[in-house]
Amino acid sequence: MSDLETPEFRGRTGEGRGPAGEGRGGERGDRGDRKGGGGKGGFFRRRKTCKLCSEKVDYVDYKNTKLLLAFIPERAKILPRRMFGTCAPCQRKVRTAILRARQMALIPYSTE
Amino acid sequence: MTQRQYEILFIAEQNLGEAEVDTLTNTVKGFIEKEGGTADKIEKWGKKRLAYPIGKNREGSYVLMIANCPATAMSEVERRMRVTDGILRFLAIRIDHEMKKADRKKTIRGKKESTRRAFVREKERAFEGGAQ
Repeated sequence: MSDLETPEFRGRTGEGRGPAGEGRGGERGDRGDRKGGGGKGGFFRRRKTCKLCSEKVDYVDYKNTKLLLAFIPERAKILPRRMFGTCAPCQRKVRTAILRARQMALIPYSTE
Repeated sequence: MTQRQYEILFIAEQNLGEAEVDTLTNTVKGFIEKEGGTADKIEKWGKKRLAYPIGKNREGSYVLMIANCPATAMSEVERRMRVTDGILRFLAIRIDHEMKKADRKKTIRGKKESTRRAFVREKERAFEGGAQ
């Protein structure tokens, strides 16, 4: 899907910023686009895919510490959605699972 | 009374031996059966290191149970578990609706899969065609 949106998006930033707006620069221009009511093109370009959806995890089990540890960096805080790119429903599931696993001392609340 | 499926995980204290953990498991099973439920699956994880110390325990024995219980019984089971010595911590969650949701998702995906694959292939072809 994103493949289809890309050419359209490039055309749009091209107007304001010139052809140099690729890579990182492209991303920044993209955000500007969004502020100005940019719309779909920019959104699709920036979107990271949700790993849980793409790996088809239907039920996020709190006992599956291996999976949950992927969502918490060394300080053991829950990564925000913008870092990991999970979709909202998945992030909610992950959050509940992490809270449960923490309570059962399967994963730490924090590390020193 | 509608039966619901619950998943109960509890941690037994570290100084309890295997036999004592077994009796503890049977007590908990007794709680469930007294309320008109059944403990279908009991899984012993054995002694595991806790991610952080609870009280003075650095490790604990985990026991997992899948229980079918009437909807109203769980609060009583929980209350009893709370006052039982030897249980460091427990977590009882309802899982039947979660499993149902997961199953539904799976079937929907199965249906969608074939049409989606065709759709993606078509789009890719269209994109390649445009690039050339």
